[in-house]
Amino acid sequence: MDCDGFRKMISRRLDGELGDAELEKLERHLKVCDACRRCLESFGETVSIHKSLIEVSPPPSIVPSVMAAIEEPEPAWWVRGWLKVAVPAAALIVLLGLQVGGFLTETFVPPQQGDEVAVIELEYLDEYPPGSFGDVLVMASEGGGDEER
Amino acid sequence: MSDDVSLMLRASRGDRKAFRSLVERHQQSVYNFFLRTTGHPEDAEDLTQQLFINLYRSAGRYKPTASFRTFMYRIASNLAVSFARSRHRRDGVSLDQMLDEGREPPRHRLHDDPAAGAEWSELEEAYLAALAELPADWRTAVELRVGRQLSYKEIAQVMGKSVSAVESILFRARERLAEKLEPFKE
Ligand SMILES: [Zn+2]
Repeated sequence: MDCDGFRKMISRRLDGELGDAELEKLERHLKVCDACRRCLESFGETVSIHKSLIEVSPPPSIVPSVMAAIEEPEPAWWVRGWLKVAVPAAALIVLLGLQVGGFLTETFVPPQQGDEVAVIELEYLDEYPPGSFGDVLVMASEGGGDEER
Repeated sequence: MSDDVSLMLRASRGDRKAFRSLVERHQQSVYNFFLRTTGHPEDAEDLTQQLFINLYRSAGRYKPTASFRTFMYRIASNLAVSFARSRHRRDGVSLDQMLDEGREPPRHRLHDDPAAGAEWSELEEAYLAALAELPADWRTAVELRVGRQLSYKEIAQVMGKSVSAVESILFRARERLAEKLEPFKE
């Protein structure tokens, strides 16, 4: 094994992850290799500095903040799933409603319309087959009742 | 069954008091994990809160077969690594730049926070600065091993890597850290 292989073992040794056989092999190499002894020393230093860092106390706000946040229950999965479908669907319905509403408004209820205009437009609808949407609108404009038709 | 596991199972059934005990037991360890992986007390505080909120929400997926610590640090590591990716580090000046300019090693941000109460030696400051310059997953692996004392096998589970990948990350991280510390040794 070359020195690079032994240095990887040095790293594992510092973490207590070397088996007895490997440990013995590494010790034998360290006795004869200055460079790897220096490596053990410098790697060992990084570990001892890290271990010497004090454990800081957490800010006292953490527990109350976390508890306040989890008081608000997250919607259950089926509500979340339903919302995923329902929200876009509702948006689509509103959008379609606006489109249809806009179409109807433009076609049948122009601003400051005269009765004449409305009648002409409704006569156009009169050509719709009986029982259709246009038919219903015509009947409504004529004051309901189907005796005429 | 360990205390953590039984508390977590109670939390998964909506027992907030049990969950509060878990937060109290682990907040210091988690806060220090984030402090060393982000280098900033405010970020560490935000991420610690986020971790526990995520932990509560994922309690239903917890299986008592998995070690609680592994489960918790898996969420913590994902948060730490994605946080590092999502945001540029706040300190604009690197350790190398400072050395080039013949400046003192940085007063690490932990030092500025009186609440944190930390006092670091010059070598510790240099170490923290060198740690902050490592790739986020290397830094996370080093802190999980040396700071949190997780085994290679646990780190592999936490980080979703093989044990040999963890060995290799720790080795390369140490090479880099040792190299960066060299100028600060007498
Ligand atoms: Zn050697």
